Amino acid sequence: MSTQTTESEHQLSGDWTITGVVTQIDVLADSLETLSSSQTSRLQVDCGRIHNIDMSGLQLLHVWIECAKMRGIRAQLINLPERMQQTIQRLGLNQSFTDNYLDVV
Amino acid sequence: MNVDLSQFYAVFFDESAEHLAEMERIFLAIDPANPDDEELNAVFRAAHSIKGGAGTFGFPDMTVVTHTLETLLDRVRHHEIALTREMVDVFLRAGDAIAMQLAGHRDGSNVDQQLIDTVCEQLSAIAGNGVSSPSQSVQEPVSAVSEQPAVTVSPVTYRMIFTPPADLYTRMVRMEPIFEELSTMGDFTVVARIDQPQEFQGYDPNRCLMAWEMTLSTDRSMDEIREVFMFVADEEELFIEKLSPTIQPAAATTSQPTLPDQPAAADDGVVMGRRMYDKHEAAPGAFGRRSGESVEASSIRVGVAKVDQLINQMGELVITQAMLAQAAKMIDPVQFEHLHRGLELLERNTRDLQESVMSIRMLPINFIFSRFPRLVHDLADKLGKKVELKLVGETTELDKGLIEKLADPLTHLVRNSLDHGIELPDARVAVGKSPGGTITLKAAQQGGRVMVEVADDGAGLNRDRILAKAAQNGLQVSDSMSDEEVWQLIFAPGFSTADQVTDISGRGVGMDVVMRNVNAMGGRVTIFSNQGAGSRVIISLPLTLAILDGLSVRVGNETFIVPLNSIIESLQPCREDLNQIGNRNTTIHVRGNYLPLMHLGTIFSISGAVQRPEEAVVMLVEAEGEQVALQVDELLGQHQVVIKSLETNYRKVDGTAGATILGDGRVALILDTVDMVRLWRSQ
Amino acid sequence: MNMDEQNRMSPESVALEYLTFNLGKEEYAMDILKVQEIRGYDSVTRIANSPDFMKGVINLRGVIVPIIDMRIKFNLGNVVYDEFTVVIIINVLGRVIGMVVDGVSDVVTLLPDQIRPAPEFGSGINSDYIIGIGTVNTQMLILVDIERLIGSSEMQLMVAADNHLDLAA
Repeated sequence: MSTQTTESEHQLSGDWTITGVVTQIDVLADSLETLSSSQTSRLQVDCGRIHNIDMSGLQLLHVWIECAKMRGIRAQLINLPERMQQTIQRLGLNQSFTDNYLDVV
Repeated sequence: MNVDLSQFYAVFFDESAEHLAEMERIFLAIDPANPDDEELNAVFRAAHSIKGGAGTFGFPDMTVVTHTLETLLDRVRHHEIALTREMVDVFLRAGDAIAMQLAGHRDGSNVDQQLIDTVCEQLSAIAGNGVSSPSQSVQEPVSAVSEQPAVTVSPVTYRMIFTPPADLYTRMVRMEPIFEELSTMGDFTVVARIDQPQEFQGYDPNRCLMAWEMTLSTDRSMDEIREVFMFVADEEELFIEKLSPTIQPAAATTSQPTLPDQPAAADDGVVMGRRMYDKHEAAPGAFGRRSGESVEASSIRVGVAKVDQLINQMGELVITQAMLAQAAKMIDPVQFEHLHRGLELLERNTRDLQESVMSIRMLPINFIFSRFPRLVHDLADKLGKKVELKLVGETTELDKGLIEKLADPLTHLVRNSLDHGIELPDARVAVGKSPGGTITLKAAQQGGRVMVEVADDGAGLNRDRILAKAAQNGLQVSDSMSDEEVWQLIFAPGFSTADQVTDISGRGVGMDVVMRNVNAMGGRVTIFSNQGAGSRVIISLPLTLAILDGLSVRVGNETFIVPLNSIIESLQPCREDLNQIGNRNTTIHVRGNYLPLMHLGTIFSISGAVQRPEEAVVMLVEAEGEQVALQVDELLGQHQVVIKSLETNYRKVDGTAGATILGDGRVALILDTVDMVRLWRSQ
Repeated sequence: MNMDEQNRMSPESVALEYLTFNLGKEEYAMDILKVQEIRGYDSVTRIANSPDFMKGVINLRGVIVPIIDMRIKFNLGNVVYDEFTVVIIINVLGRVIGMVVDGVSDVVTLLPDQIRPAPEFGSGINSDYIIGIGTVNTQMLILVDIERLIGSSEMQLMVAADNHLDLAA
């Protein structure tokens, strides 16, 4: 259920739907603090272990990435599960994610 | 996360139930040989709406069935398949299947998957064998969907912006099915935009910050597009505009959708994004609607608790106004003329307000009557009888609480008529009747009460059989009993003269429960029967639950309220008019009639009550067809009283119909004349 | 075993608060959570043909509430109605009901080990409705299961629930 972080790589996992986002957010908030006080400017975000994600989860992810960007950190989403890609597509979030973050579509 | 989802599903459940009822109503009435286009469209839309909602709220089982049904109905309404009687029956059963699935989700009740599979097979079979309607092939195809002239159907491009409220996520709404639906309607694009907060601190992931801009090139109407968002978007949340047909959809890559802060005004003056249930409620013949109401009338859903609260507060207002009126009696009318006039005005305003508030809870009785066409149709078929159902006075209004409680007893009575009343066609013909029987459901307001009647032209009650059965059950009977007394016997618990216990209504759990349920509502049941010709069962119910015009009277040092509409007149009797019979009974002679005199002081064991009638006041009151005289000490005054329940914290008191709070804060019992007569006779 | 028996027998590590009141010479106690308010005895409207312990009904801020006199019902104490008469308004089984008692004392807290099973009483409140005897210092309190008492058929307050027609075909 939890998300692990090291400085230049984040591993996202677990429940990223409306039922899980409240849990995910705390770790993300902490890591944002850590990241901005460190020298990191590029960050890999591995989505491989995300079990399930919906629009609230994608919103959370997007908001977090943008906040990181505002602190000079560029994030790269990698290893997106197929379902996650489909959900991004179906919800019209392609542009928000592809243009800015995804290396692998 | 512990989110109570039931509140969000409730709207879907309610509205789907209405759609199902509408579909059933249309199917029962439709003429397969000559179906009305509007009706076909209506059933299609109903199925379509249910399907949409089922998808949005994640009920795939319902989606499957409704989708199959909807596709079929679409073909029927486009006259690609001819409608037959058998198809209508399958459609009815499909409606039942969906209703069962709905109940499964809503109440956790059992779902017979076998039944659903069977229905789906039958629907598919029809789809496979569908015969194209011969009468249509010579005519130009009528497109029911396009708003353009029928010659060429050119797609129109629409631009939609959906700005959901913050609770979209917590309402468990899923947008994917909606976008998917739209993509089946034509060329569809969607772009999401997220309203980025300035900092991560304080960001609430439950709040929806997303909005969507869409374009759709389709031959469907704007209404149909709006319908897709039915369960999800309120009026101000969905903006739709028609782009000129020649303009390409705004390129998704070039611009971000702008998020309008206020509801955007419509370009073509059409009301934007109205929820479809508003539209359905305004449609003629929609479930529970009053006839004669303007089609433009809209409605709001309000929780019952809120309405009850409003009614309570209205009641308190009436009490307060009564207190003021009472206190004002002490104040010089000449010197304080303004005050008195103001209070008169207050009384009128309060009365008007009270009537309006009470009418909120009033619903037309058609609310329950409407279930019977289907019930009679199915049950008559099952019993091999031919029965026509007539509804009279279905717009008669009743308090919502009563309507709900009336459903069970009424259903039992109708089933009784079907099962035991109406004879088989052969038997009817043999006694010179028409082969088909008639059951009439009638409702009317009469003298401050609502009378609901179930009548049939069947065999009527069999007096001998009832007497025999009663004797068998150990009840005291005699041949000299009047017909009315014999009919009363069937209200005894466990009574049933059915030869075998059919699974319909002959189980002996019958009329006694009907009686009890009706009594609990403050109602009464009366039976009229004519052996060989038919029976009538009449239920009489109080009209309003809460406010009553009454006359307060004093007996001893206790105060009672007598309902004004049961009072014929009051008088002070002379010795000569009184006639004592035996120890307890006195009659009073009024205009040629001898009426029994009931002494309230005796019935209620009130010490200090005036004993001699000629020193008291006698009120002639009406007790459901019977006139009796009621002796009290003194008449006090006329008031509007708020009926307070005794049953809430205590229980029903014999002879009364609740209590009220007087201007001085004390409690007074409200008399029920019929109940008083019964009480008096039983003592 | 039913809920009441379970409640009486299972040890709870939680202390419960009780309102003490007296009927005649005895001190009783009831679950404080069921007590809504305490009032004097005033303006009771008599209900004819009701049991003698059913004094009538009152208007409690717009709601009709029945008043029962426990002293009459259980033949306890001196039945007078004066300015010292106390009515305990309780909320049990979804109803608001008033009980006339001789007086009300304190609210006490009792731990389960301060409660002993009650002996069979000869008079007073029927032992069916007694949870046990609580001891606070030297004082003995008879703990009443007020819910069971009010719900009992002998109080004639609860009418049999409406039977719903079983119409399943």
